[in-house]
Amino acid sequence: MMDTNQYLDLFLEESREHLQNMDKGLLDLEQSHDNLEVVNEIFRSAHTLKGMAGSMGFDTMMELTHQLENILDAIRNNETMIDGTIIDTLFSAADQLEKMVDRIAGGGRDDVDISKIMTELKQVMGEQERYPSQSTTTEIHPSDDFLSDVIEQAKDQGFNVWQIEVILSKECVLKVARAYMVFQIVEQLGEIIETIPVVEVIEEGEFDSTFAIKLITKNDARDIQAKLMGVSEVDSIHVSALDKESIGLGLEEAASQQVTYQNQMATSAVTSKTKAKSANRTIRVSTQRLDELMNLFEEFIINKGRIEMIARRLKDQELNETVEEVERTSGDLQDIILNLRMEPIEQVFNRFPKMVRSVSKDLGKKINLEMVGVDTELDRNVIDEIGDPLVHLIRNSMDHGIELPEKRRDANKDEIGRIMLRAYHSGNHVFIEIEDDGSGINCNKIASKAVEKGLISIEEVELLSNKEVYELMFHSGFSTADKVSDISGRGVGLDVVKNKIESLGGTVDVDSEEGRGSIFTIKLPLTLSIISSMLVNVQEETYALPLNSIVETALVTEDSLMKANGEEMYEYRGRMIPFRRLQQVLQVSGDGIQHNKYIPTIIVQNDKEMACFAVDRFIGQQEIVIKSLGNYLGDVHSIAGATILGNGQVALILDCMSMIS
Amino acid sequence: MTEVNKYMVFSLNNEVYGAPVEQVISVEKPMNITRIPNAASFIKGVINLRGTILPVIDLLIKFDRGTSKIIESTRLAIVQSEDIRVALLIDTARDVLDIHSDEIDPVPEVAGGIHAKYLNGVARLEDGLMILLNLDQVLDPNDITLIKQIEI
Repeated sequence: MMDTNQYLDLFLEESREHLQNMDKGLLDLEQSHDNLEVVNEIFRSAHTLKGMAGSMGFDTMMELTHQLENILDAIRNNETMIDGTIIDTLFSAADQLEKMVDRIAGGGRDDVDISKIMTELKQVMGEQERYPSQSTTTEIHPSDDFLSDVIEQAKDQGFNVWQIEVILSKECVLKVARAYMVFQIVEQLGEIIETIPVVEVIEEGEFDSTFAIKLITKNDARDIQAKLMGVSEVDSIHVSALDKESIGLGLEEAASQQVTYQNQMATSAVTSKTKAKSANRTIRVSTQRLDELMNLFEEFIINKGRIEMIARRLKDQELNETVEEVERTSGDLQDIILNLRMEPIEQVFNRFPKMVRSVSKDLGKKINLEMVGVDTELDRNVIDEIGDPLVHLIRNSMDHGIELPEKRRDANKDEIGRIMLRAYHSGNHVFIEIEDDGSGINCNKIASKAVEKGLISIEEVELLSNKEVYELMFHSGFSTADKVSDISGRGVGLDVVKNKIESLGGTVDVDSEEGRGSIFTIKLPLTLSIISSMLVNVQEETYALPLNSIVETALVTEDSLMKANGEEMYEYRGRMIPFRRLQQVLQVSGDGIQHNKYIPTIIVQNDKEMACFAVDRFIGQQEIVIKSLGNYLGDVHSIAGATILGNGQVALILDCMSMIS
Repeated sequence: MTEVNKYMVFSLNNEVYGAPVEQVISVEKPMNITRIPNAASFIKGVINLRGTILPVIDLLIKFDRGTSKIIESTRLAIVQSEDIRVALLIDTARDVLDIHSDEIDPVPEVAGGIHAKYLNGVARLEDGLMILLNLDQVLDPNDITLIKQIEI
């Protein structure tokens, strides 16, 4: 057997992608039973999975996907009708496949017992149970009827249908690249309806030196030929007209060992956009490399800071201009690098519809999940970490929020509960909201539970606002479910969610209206590693304050300060805000700097709370790289991390949020 | 058969200490230390060691034997225990010695004011005694949480 280990990661990654596609397809199919395009999508995923499993030697997986293919094939040939049972069975087959992939990922094999699901699958096939004659080959014949329909229709509309045979030079080393270039050109000319061999095979470079494309276009043969001959290492291009009769002939012999691939087009094929993945426009890069790139860039930022400092000292015109130029370039570079690490949150959201579907069945509730802003992008690291907290919150909404159908009817609500998952960017943050139209949060219930658990005394509870009562839910060891259900309330409560989100530098907030529903809002920083900051001096040390929490810097005179309850206050735009001296807040000793008349201060804001912090000296704005204080120190109050300055010294990054409260 | 272990020998406040050499990464000249507010008192601050930020620990404060003064001969011993890496303030790094297990005496519950859990024992040298540190215990981050709780 060939050594497949090196492909395992790729296999796992792609399998997960295809499984996700399948899940998505099945959910779509559940909504509209007669959407054949979706069936085709699912079929393609199943087919690819089968091929991959086969080449990796995972026979059980192959067997199951094969059976899946049979059903899907029967469906698209109208031999089997789709109903709820079929969908359920397909879902559980997909679950089994997922289980296998998980097992393989965990270092095991695909040895999941599939006898039950296989029987079920065969059952739903019913009388039309078909065993294909070639059980191991993976041949799908395009339906010639379909193709000829498409061609006829195209001709009616004044299009030409060409078969383009591309012969690459024998010496051509980069076959895939050349094919890619050919596809690029062809795609601009019109719609590709079929390729021989299939696109995937071409992408793998598993063809001799010839491949063919069937194309619907307005361009004429000579034009196509001329354009394609421009690609280097193309030996010759043969363009021949294709009509109903010549279908099925053509390059059949050239494709002896390959599979023909039929682009799934609706009847309005000619105008619909082709979905052929004719060529990859992306490359896969391991996240490790991206991290390395990021690390190097961080080093660069630190050194850039150093150069800026020297330039300021030397006051050389030419040097200053160059430094500014470097500054601009590095800003662009930073945008790009950070963007490289961004991925749409869709990846995380994708698994929720299926989860909601199965959990709502378990709970006997009817729940509709809506997702908005799935293309909102987030840092890769956050994507990896945010999944579990979201699962928890959604499950929480399903379990505690949405009521049972009868109860909803009694409350004059739609029987079907609604959970809204929303993601969007705002400023330097990404917000994710989980909103449900369930029963809302019962403050009294939360309060009495908290008292019962000894988290707070009865007297204290009375004084709390609703919002503060909600906060209690995030206290460790708090779970409101009357009975411990499987869904939530295994003792791990919302406190875990809160901790996780805070470890990502974010916050979680909840609001609710009894009887109407609740909304959980997660706020996350856009990036985790580089921020804009304001550098200040306090005694010997330099501190960095994240720019996004600073409202303003101001020079304040001693006699403009007021005292209230022994605390100094400062009037900022008609509002009294606490005035604190950072030296005292941080308890750093020193000789004390004599301010002349004015005290440099920074006004910071966290939600609605504001405060004014006195510093010794402003240094200026700078991009800084956040570094952790290491495992030993763990969390230090009011310190968010550290950074290395241009002069090599360490500056602490202050956590304005915790300093205000 | 006696077991032989290598220890890096250093002095601290006129006493001789040893740290298992495989846990000592390097010895550095003193550098600028940034103080950390709200941290345990034995944490002198953090340094930038070639791009990594490391906490600096004053063993004298940790062992309740005074405070280290940073002078010309002060060095920073970079030591590690599993995934934790810190810098220890030491007076001078002297030598690396082979210590046979039969040269080591077990420590009484409290050896010269230092809690026994921080020590591997006391070794008899020709010119005196050497206190052998148990770095895994010295660098146990739970110590910090304990101290935090006490201070609050």
